[in-house]
Amino acid sequence: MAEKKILLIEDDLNTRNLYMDLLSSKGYEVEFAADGKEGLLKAEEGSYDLVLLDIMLPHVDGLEILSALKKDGESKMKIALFTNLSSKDVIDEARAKGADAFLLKSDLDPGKFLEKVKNLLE
Amino acid sequence: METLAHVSGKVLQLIGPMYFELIITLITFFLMTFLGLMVFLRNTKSWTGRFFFILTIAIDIYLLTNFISLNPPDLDPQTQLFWIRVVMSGGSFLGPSLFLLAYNFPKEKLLLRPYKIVLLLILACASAFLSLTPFGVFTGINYPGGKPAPIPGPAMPVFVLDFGGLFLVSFILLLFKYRKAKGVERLQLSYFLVGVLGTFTLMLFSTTFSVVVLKTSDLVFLGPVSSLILIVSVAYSIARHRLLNIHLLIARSVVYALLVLLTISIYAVVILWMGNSFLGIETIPAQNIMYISLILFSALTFQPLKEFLKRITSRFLYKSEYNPAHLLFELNNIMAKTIDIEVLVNKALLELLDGMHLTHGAIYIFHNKESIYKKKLIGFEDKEQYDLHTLLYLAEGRKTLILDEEENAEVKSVLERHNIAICLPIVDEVLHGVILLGGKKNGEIFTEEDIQFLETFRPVFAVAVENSKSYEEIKNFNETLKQKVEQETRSLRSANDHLKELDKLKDDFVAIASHELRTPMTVIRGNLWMILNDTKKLDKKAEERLKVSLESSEHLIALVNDILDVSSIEGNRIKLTPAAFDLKALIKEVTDEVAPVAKQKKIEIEAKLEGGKIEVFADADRIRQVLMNLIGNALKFVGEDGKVVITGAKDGKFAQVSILDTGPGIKKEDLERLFTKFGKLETAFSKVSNTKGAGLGLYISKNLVELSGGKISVDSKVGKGTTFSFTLPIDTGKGI
Repeated sequence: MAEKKILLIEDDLNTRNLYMDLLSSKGYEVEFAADGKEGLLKAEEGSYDLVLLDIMLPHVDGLEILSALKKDGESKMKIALFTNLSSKDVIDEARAKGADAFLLKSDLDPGKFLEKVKNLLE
Repeated sequence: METLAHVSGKVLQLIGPMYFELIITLITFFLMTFLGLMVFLRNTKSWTGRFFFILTIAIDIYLLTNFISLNPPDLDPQTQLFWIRVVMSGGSFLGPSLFLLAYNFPKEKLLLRPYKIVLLLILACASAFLSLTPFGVFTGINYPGGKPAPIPGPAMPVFVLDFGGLFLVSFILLLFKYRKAKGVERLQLSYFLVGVLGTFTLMLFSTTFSVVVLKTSDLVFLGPVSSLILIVSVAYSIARHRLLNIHLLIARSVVYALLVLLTISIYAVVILWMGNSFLGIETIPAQNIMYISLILFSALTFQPLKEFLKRITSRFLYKSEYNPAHLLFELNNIMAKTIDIEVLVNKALLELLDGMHLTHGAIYIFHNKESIYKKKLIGFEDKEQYDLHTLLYLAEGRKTLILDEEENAEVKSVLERHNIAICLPIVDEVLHGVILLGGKKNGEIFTEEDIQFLETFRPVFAVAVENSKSYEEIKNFNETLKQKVEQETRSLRSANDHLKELDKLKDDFVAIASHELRTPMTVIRGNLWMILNDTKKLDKKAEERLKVSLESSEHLIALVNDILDVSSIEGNRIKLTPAAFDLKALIKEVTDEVAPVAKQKKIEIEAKLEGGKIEVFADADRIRQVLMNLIGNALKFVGEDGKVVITGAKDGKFAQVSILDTGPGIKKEDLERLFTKFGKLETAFSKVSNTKGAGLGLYISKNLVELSGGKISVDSKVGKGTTFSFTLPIDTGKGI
């Protein structure tokens, strides 16, 4: 069984380390990007099953990346916003731009987070 | 041939001495006929008018026949008798005519029944006929002392009845009418009565009475003269009281007739008498009559001829004439219909120059005597402009200046230099401006009429100008006001925007701050969780500490969430997206979620949901938040073996959710502060709780419920338990 590939685009080091450890410990293949530009390139090149997309990123913010990725009509790759911003405007915009999920970091302890990921990859 | 000459010689001879009587008779005749005609022509349909005319004709006939009967005085008896009889015959119609008039006066409709008129006519004709017969009214004629005195015959009573009798009846009739009448009609009747009485009494006296009783014919000539009394009184009535519905026309005509009389008299005196006496000019009577007729003719036709000639020559001779009344009417029209000052000035100037046929003109309107506000110039060459100084110099005196009449040499030279014929300052209380006019196109000077016209126009125009200026001022003020309001609104709006900006910044600050806080907290919580879950072997104590740390970190996260919510609520930035969802399903979901926690604390939790779905219209996420808060609170305060029951039911247009717990209950005093910010209970139990919560939960829940269109409430008994309830609107399928 092929392992699911996940791209984590996150600029905070500690957060990145935490979730990479968490995901890889559960058997996922995880790659990361530390800023928006890099993240977009990687996402376009590689073939990931899931992209966990932070919003507050240098150079290109998460919503722009979302637009870019969803514009091409890539249906196979799931894109979930993964952020601590909880304003309704942002959530609406993400939905409008076609995000597959909106995950609020502070709401999800690791256990719940893994649940969500599992659901998305099914 | 000889007889003809003889007769004509005699006639001429005779006409001379009768001069005086002839004149009187002729005048009376003309006036009488004239009056009768006037009355009749004014309203040909009026029977009163018709009867009056008939009466005047009857009097005319009487006049003429009477005159002929008396002149020449030395007529042979038979002829004289014949003529006297003719007089009586003609006079037979006087009584009936008077009666007819008196009966009908002053109505237009015929009041008398036709058969009665016929009766009268029969009487009149009988009297007339009898008068002519030798055995009727007068049988013969005597000449006592050389004067004719006809002998009354057996038919005299008939005449007396016809003449005297009818006269009396008419008089009595008029008297009765007079008594019944009111106002103007009464006055009219009074003059008529006087006239009638006077005339006919004299007539009766001078003819019948004097002849029959006094046996003399000397007074007979007075007969027709007495009719003058009637003429004068009727004329007077007409002139003053519109007798028989004739107006000023008659009054004027009467005056006119008197003028004619005067002319003739002057002629008579000057030419005839004086000419005869002083210059020895001899004129034969025939000539006199001719001359008088000529005078009469020219006097009568002078006025109409003048009007006629004026009309046909007006095109060439009266070119520069204008009708001041008409021009004033036009200007008044302009002033009444125009409120805009520029239009007013333009139109008025144009009308004035056109109407009076002037070469050029200008109107200047000042602004507080400081500047020229509006101006209009027509007909000037080389763009002649007047400076304010010159204008004020001319207008300061507030009087009209006329170049031709100006005495002050300095002023005159200024007027001349600037080509101004008339300067009209526009003043009422204030000097508004000035009208400058050039001369007439045909080069004539201004007449008294012209000046009067301009003087009449000037103050009226001043008022119009003042009104226009006031209107302009109001308009300007309005504009200024509008601008000010807009200005203020703009500044208010920008202030508002500024406030909004600040607000937004605050919003951003809180959002960013919470985001910044969440990042490390999430890391802490995540790492702690991983240690606790993934590490195989942990020191008991360490595990304990880590657990506490994990809980605290989650507490912190919850706190940040709450603060963010409160900020949103306070800034009215909460955005709810309500939709229809099954409340029961949500309750079940939440209950299931907290089940492990309840189990751990050995609290029995149950969701009592009977019946079918309850579709409510609200933001599901936020209601979930409310449920979590309330159920969380319940779990916090209920001790071991306690119960938490959640119910949901429909209640009309709302759904009611209740969370009941068997906790310690809340004191009455504390209930008030429950839903406020940081309204934590000051009981010992709050210290026991170490689960999530910062005291903001109920405040947020209350706001969320209320924003969703529902109400939240609490019921509690110390020692028994607490029940929190809230309502939500049932989905009506209509959306927002």
